[in-house]
Amino acid sequence: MRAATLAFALAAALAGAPAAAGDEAGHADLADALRPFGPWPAAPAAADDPADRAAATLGEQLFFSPRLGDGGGVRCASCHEPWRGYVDGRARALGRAQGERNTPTLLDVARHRRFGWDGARTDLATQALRPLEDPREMPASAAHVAALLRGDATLSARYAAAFGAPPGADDDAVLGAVGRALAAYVATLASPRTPFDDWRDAVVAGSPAPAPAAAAARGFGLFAGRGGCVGCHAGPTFSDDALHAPLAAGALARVRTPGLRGVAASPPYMHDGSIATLCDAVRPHADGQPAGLSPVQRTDLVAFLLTLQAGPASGGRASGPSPC
Amino acid sequence: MTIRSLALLALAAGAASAALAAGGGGGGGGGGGGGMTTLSAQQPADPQYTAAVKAIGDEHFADAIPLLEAYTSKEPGAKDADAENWLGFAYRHTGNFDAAFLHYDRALAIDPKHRGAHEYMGEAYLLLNNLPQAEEHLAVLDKLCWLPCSEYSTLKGKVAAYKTAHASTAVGSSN
Repeated sequence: MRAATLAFALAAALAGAPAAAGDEAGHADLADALRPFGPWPAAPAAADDPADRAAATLGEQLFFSPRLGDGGGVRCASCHEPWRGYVDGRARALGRAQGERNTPTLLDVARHRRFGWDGARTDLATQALRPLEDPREMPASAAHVAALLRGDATLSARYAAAFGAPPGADDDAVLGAVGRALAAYVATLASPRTPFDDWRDAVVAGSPAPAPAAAAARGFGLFAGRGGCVGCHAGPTFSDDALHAPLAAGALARVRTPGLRGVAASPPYMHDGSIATLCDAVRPHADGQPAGLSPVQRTDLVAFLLTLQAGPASGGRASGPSPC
Repeated sequence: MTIRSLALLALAAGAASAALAAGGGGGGGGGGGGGMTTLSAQQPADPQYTAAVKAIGDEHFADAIPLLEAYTSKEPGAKDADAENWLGFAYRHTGNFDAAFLHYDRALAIDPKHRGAHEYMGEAYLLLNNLPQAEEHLAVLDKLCWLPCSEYSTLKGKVAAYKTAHASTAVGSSN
């Protein structure tokens, strides 16, 4: 897309009459630029059948339980706190011990094809068991997990409802089923619609668009244009699920592109939590993008990112309307 | 403040309303807590909610659970952070920590600034020897309570007592 055309379409959109501005080509360019980021919410990722619902019910109990890990009172929800958008607000996760990576959100996790900052797992059920394998998170053996499922009447009944029979004697089989149950639950966690989605849908449909703030519209132009952000933060989740060089130097040579929905509420940023604010997060990454943006342009880019938020950013730590 | 007095306070505050407002809800673990505030004065009192709070005041926690489960399963109780907090509190006192945490988390998902839920979540973590998580909720309360509040002071006291008694075994301190 020609940057000038997109800029014209954005100006027309800000005037509240993208089509009436007389540049149908510009409006088409804007619609083309916005179209890949929706629709939202997407079709439910989890199948809506009784077995899946039963598995999600079991997974929900385990997700909030302090008994899944073997001692220490650490839960899945200790790091993936629902009230914070399924992150923990810490730079690096703290389970049984200090970890090395920032806690990623679980919202929209079922929409991804790779999991973890390193993208090492491609199956959500095995990813869900990863914290149990890490002594710094919430370590537990297959024997511990299986004993928990066998010894608790409620858990055992929910297991049977999900998988057709009570937990058997094979510890590894029970552990695998627990992974599937946790995956079924987290697959239900989805980001809400945002002001951006209202704008995107209206422009794509050719109906009167709820005009975004001027800075946010300019920010989208940068995001989809010269900023080059869309090269990695693509699609409805704003992630291409691919591995790229990280902004911050660290143990990981390449990290999975994180999604951006709700990003304003989940500081700090990057795989090691080393970036405190969105203003700093939109500085050039290690691959050089977004390149050469002025402080005003970075402020616009942040204003756009704020439209990916259903509610106000949490904690006062995210970048607000103040200039970068 | 005792559980009974907190529950009576809750009932008094809710006599003309359905539920208690953010910042209240739930008796303190072992008596702490409080901070009941008002709430939706437009709504009539829900009989199940009222009966549940009375049962908690009488320390009949098992009796309160089905009443609160029923109340929170439909509107407006499904969006009542205080009711979720009471439910977590009741489950905790029956020894069901899975459900207690789930409902504390639901209370905070409804109202991230719910002081009572932060206090009781912190207390529950202390009971499980997870001091860092308890301190996290204490830090949240410190920000929420820009004026002195009982939720902060109660949890602060319990964290201090825990440190005195368990300093050498606190989660994370030796890892």
